[in-house]
Amino acid sequence: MTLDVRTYIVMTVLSATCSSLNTDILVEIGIMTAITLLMLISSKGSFMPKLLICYALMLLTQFVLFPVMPQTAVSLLSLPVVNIRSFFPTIMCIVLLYRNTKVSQMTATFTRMHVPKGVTITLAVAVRYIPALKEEWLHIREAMKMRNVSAGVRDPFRRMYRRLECQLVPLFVSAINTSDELSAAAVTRGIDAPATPACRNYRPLGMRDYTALFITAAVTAFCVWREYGGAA
Amino acid sequence: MNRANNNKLQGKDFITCGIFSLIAMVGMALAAVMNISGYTAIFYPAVASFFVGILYVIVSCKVPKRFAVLIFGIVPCAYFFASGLIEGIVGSVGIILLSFAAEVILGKERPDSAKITVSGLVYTLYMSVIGMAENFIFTDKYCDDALAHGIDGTIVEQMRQMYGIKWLWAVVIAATALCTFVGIAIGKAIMKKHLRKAGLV
Amino acid sequence: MLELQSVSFGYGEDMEKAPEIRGIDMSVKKGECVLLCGASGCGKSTILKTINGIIPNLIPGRLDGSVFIDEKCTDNVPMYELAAKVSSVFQNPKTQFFNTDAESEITYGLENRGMPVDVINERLERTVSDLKIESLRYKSMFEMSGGEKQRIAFASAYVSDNDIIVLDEPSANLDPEAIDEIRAVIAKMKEIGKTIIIAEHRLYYLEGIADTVLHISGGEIKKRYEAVDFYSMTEDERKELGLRKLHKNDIKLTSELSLHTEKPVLAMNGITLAYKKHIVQNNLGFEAYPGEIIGIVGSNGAGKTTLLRALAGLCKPKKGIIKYNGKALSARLRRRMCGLVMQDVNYQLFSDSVRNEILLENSVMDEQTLSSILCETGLSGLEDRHPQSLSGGQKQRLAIAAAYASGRKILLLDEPTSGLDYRSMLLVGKLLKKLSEKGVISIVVTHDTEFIESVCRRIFRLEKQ
Repeated sequence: MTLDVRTYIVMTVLSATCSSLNTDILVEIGIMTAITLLMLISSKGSFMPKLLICYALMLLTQFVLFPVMPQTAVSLLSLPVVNIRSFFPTIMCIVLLYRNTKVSQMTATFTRMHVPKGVTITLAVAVRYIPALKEEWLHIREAMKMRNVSAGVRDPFRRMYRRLECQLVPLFVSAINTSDELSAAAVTRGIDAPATPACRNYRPLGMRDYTALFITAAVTAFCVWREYGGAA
Repeated sequence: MNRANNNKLQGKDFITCGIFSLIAMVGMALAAVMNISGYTAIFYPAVASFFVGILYVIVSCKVPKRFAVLIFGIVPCAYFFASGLIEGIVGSVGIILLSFAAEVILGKERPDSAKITVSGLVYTLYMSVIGMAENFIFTDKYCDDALAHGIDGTIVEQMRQMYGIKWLWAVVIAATALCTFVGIAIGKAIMKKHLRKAGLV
Repeated sequence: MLELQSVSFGYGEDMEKAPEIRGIDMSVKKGECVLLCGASGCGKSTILKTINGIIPNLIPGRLDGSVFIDEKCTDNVPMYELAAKVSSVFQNPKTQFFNTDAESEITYGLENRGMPVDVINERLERTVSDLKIESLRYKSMFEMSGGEKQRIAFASAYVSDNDIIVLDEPSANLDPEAIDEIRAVIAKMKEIGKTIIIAEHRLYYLEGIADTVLHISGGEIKKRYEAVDFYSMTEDERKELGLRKLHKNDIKLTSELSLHTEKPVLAMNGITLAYKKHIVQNNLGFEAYPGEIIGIVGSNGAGKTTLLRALAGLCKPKKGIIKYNGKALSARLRRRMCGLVMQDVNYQLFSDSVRNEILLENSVMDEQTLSSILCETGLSGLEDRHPQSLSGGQKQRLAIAAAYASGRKILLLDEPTSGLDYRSMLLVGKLLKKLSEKGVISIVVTHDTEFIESVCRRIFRLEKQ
C-alpha cells in the first residue's frame, strides 16, 4: 500500500512538530509503533529493521544504561543519543516518503498543485540524483584507496587539502557531466515546453490518505494539548 | 547565432541546481556530526557553511543567471520545512530572504568573483543567524526543552551557561563567515585549477 | 525528410579556433538509415547535435548553415517543438533517464507535450508490446543493467512517434547481448518507416540495417558509401580508414602460446567470490607469468568485475589466497601492488594536468623518466592539459601511465575499450604490450573480442553459476 506524496509530506512535517513538542517517551513509542505498522504494510523496502534496531538501542542506552553509567560517559553520549532518538519519527517518515514516492508521482502532484515548474524540476532531479550520488561517491572512494594521493606531502594541512581536492574534483566533474547529459536528454524530450505537462501519475487523495492524515492530525493535536493545554 | 545564453533559467539550469543543491545538502548532513556535543554544536554552522561555500561558487559560475541561488537553496529549504512546523517555516523563509539578498548582490553581470564572495557570505548567514537564533535568544526555553526531552542535566546547565554568553553568537557568526570565506576560496581554486581548465564550465 | 546545407559549427566564440565540423551537406530520405562513422573527435556527434537541436540550444558556439526538417528550416524553431519531431538516444545509459520508474520514463516526453493521459497510456501499451519490454515495465530504473536502461531510452524515443530518430553511440557502454537487443529495436524502428541517423564506432551490429554509410574525418564528410559496398570492404581497407570490425565473429587468438621460461609470479588459489552476499564464483584458481596479458570474458553477473576488485584489494574474497612471488598478499598490499583502470576512468583522475597526474604518487621522478613514460603512452605534448579535457582513449592511457609510473606490477583493466575507436583501441593494446615487455602483468575484463584478439595471450571464460 502506498499513500499520496502529499500525505507523506504532511506526516513528515507534523511528526517533526510532535517530536519537538512531546516529551513523553510513551507517546513517542506509540508514534513509532504506528509508523512501523505503516511501514510494514507499505511497499517493499520501506521497512528497515536496522532503523528500528538503532532506535531500540538508543532507548536502551537512555533509559537503562544512563542511570548506571559514570557521569562523564553520560555527558558525552546524552546529547547525540537523545537528539537522534527524538528525531527518529521524522527520519522514519522521510524514509517512507522516499521509498514510496516515484519521481513522476511527485512531479505530477506538484504540477497539479501549481508549484512553480523550476521548483518541481529541481526537487525531482535532487531526488533522482540521490542513488547516483551514492554510487559515484563509492567509486571515488575506491579510486582513492587504490592510489596514495597524498604521497610526498608532509604538511598535515596540505595533506588534508590534497585529500579534499581529490574527493571533490572527480565528484564535481561527474556531477557536471551528469547535469549536462541529463539536460541533453531532458531538452530533447521537451522539458522546456510551455504546455502544462500531463499528469499521468497524479492520484487524487483517497480514503486511506484521509485516514492517515486524520490520525496524524489527531496525534499532533494531542501533543499540542499535552504541552499547552489543561494537564499542565 | 547563439541561443544558449538566454538569461532566463531553463530546464538545464534547474537540473544543474538540483544536483548541486543535493550535494550541498549532503555536505550539511556531514557537518551535523558537530552536534555530537554541546560545545562543538555552536560550530555546526561554520563547518556546514564551508561545504556550502564551495558549492555556492560552482553553482554561481555554472549557472550565471538570475535566481540561480534561489533555486540552489531549495533542497535545504525543503529540509528545514520538513524538520518542524514553526522552526521549519522560520528557517525556510530565512533561506529564501537571504537568497534574495544574495541575488541582489550578484546583480546582472555574472559571474563576478568579488560579488560571489560577498553574496556567499550573506547567503550562509542563514545558518549562523537564523539557525542559532533559538539557542541564543530563547536560551531558557531551548534548554528547558532539552531537559524535558531527557538530556542530561549537567549538560543542559553547561549549554545554558554557554548560550547565556551573548557575544558568543558574534563569534559563531564570525567563524561561519570565515569558514564560508575559506570554502569560497577553495571553490574558486577548484574552479580555476580544474573545472575551467578542463572546459567543463 | 532531413537536409543539412553547408552546416559548420565551432565551440566557443573564438573565431580563430578550427571548427568541429565544416560544410556538411547531407540529405536523408524518409525511412532511410544513415550511419556516420569515423575516429573519435571527427565531428560525427556534433553533426547529430545540430540535427536534434542540442546545438545551438544547449551548447553555445558559432553555427552556420541550416538544417531543414520536412523542408522547414529549424533555425528559429524552439527546442520543445523540435523535440516533437526528432527523438534522441545518447551513449551513457546512466545519465539519460529522468524518472525512477520505467513507465514514466517512457512517457516523459509525451507528458511534457501536455498530451491527454489516455492517449499517452494507449501509446505506452503499444510501445511495450512492440518492443517486448513487458519484463522491464514495472522495474525501477536504478535496478536495471546498462542494456536495460538503454532499451527504455529507445522505448521513449519509439513512443514519441517522431519520424526522425538520432542515435549517438547507443552501444558504447553495452555488452554483446545488450547490443543484440538494441539491434532488434533499431531494426523494428526501421521497419515501421522511421528515419534513423546513427553515429557509432561499433559497426558490426548495424550490418543489414544501415542503408547509407558516411565516413567522417576532420569535420567533413569524406566519403559516402552504399551499405552493401561498405560492408564488403576488405579488412585492409577498413583498417586503413581506422574503423572497428565490420562483422560479428568469434574470438580467434592469433598470438601463439609461448613457453614460459620464468616461473609464474602471481597465483590465486581457491578463490570464492561473492557479490552482495551472493556467491558468484567458487574455488577459482590461476597463475600468471611475468608480462602476461590475460583476458577475462564471460556473461554479465558471472563475477568478472568482482574478481578484479578482489585482485585489486578493494574487496576480500570470501575464501582463498592471492600470492605474489610465493608471498601471500593482504588487501592493503594488493592495493599498492595493483593498478586498477576503472570502467569509468573519470573517477580516478585527480590532478590538474597530465604531468601532475603521473607524478601524483611519485613526485621525485626525474624529467627523463617522465618524458619517456609520456612518449610510450602517446601523451607527449599533452603534459599541461587537464586530464578531464582529454578524449576517452587518452584518459585510459593516462590512468595506465599513472599506475605504471608508481611502480605497479599488476594492471587490472575493466572494459578499457568500451566507446573507443579503432585507433585508440590499438594504442591501448600497444601500450599493454610494451608494459608486458617490462614484466607488468595485465588482466583485462572485456567483451571486446577485437581487443582480446589483438593483445591477449590467454583468456579465461567465467560462467554464471
